[in-house]
Amino acid sequence: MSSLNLINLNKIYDHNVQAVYDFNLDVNDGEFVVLVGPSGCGKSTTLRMIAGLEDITSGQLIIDGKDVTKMPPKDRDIAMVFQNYALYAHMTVYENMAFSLTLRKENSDLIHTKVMAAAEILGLTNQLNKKPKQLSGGQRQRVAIGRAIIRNPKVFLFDEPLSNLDAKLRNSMRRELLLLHKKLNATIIYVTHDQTEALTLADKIVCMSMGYVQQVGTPLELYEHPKNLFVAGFIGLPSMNFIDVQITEDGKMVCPSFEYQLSADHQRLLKDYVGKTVVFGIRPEDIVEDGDIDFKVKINENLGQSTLVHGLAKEKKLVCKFKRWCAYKQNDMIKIGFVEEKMHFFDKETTNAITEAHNE
Amino acid sequence: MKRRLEVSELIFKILAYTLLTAFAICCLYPFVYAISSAISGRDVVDNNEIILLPKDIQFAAFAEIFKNNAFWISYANTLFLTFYGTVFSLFVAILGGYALSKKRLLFRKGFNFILVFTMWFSAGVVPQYLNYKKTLTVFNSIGIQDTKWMIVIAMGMAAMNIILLRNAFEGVPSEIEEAAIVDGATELQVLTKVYVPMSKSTIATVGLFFGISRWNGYYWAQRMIPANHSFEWPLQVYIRRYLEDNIWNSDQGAINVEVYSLNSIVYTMVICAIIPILIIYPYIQKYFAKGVNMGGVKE
Repeated sequence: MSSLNLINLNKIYDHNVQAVYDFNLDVNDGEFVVLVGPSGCGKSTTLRMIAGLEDITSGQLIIDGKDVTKMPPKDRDIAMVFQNYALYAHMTVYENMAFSLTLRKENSDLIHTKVMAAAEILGLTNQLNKKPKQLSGGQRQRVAIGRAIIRNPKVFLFDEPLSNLDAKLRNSMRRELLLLHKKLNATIIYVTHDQTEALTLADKIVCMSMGYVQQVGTPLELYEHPKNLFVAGFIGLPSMNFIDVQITEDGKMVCPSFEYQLSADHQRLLKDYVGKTVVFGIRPEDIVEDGDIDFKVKINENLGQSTLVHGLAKEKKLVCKFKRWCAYKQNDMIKIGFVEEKMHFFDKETTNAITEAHNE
Repeated sequence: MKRRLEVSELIFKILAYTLLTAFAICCLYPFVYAISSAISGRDVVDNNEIILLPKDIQFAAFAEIFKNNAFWISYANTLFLTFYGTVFSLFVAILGGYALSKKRLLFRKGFNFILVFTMWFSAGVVPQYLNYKKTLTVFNSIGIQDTKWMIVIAMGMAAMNIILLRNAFEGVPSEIEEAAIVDGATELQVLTKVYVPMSKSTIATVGLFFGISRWNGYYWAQRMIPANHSFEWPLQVYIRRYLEDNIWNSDQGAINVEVYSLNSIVYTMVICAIIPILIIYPYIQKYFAKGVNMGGVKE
């Protein structure tokens, strides 16, 4: 296992289409890094550059202290798992897993030992003589993972490996991946557009949008301290509520829907924005059924352990997540409030979060 | 539960079955007729009395053929042409189809255009003949001029088959190729260990196309192998010459004809010529039916 350094990686396609801008990232030994972002944000391109399937237009890729920027994929000692499994349909599970070692002309006894060990880890021992088409989606993806782990590569690359599976299987495979990571202590770079996968799997998340890295941090950092509007909106389900508010001299935030008295801390934070409009962000789970803002219920969605309540504060649409079973009806009027320490403010122009550091 | 057929469906079914049956009879009849004629007696064959079943059964025509060395030499030539012709053509078509299926191939569009162009417009028989003859004099030095090898090489390429293979290779998902590259396969290994086995059915189909066209190949074989190299002739050319020499141009032939008609000899040759195809076809047919769909339509 090993470390990885991506230094100023850029990818420019024909006709000057730039897919990735100045990507910088350090991945430590044994770290599980998730690249997350919407479709077309450049996350897969970045992964493919690491794999060597795309040329790096400029920048440097270093694996274990060695510059591999110009190296062909087979010499980089990486293994990749693809979204659609990419299994060799004409080979059995055993042959699929053994393929890379066969190409390297490894000793057949060694190959057998390794295949059996990988099959044991992945629970595929009884499937080894089957062809991929005889397997279920989850088993196929396990074979693809087996093909990767058998080589004991320096870095594992996963390109949306769970997107083709149904929801239940995805959950169980996610846990299996976590266990596998613990067992192998592997360095993993994992691409997904699903922020739940990112939050649950990652040691470190790289949130991307339009080719730019928006924020790098632990899942908790991204969840609690999003650097900008994009990250705040992307991480968390349901998404954060955003409301344009004006900061008044008497320490209130005012919008057509409500007036809210800010705490002393928030007043200090926003002292440069008095008289200006900022974006106020609050996660649905940080809205409480206690306060003085009028809220008209539109939809009451029970999820079991919690309830999503969609509705309006005057004209402004908000989503709240209450940690109990609610039975509101349409047009019920309730009062809501916000959890002080979970309120986020963003500069309307730069879209960056307004933080203490910002004021210093 | 069985559903009752609508009247229009019923009419369609009756029509379809009738037409297909008629077509099947049209295909089968000449074959049965040939067998009957081959094993019927001389008089009934010469007087055109055979309609379906044989009369005055004799096997002397087969005995005569089994003794005919020139026939078996040409038979061996045809086997040779079919085997090496198919192998060589497949080799060319697989490499060509693979290269043309890759988007990164330089001038790919141009090459594809040139390839398809030869399907729309051929040069014509005389230029083609001159081309083969002149180009292949190059091979004179290695001693293959006027031999079977000329057919193998000159007829080695078929645009249609390359396109079928190209489409089959394009149908293999690009992730599979990438997976193989990441697994450490070289370009040649990607082709031989991944693409070729995954396109087995199309390759079998194209192989069958090549094989049948070599087996049945007559015109160019007859043009390119001169009469003084008659020991290089394939079966089809030999049968034709046999007809010319013994039936059309002579008065009841050079061979002693007693119990069978000369026509029976011809039919016997025809049957011998078709037997290998009848034996091989059922084995390849399963690929053939699947392969035409798989290669022709890009999924």
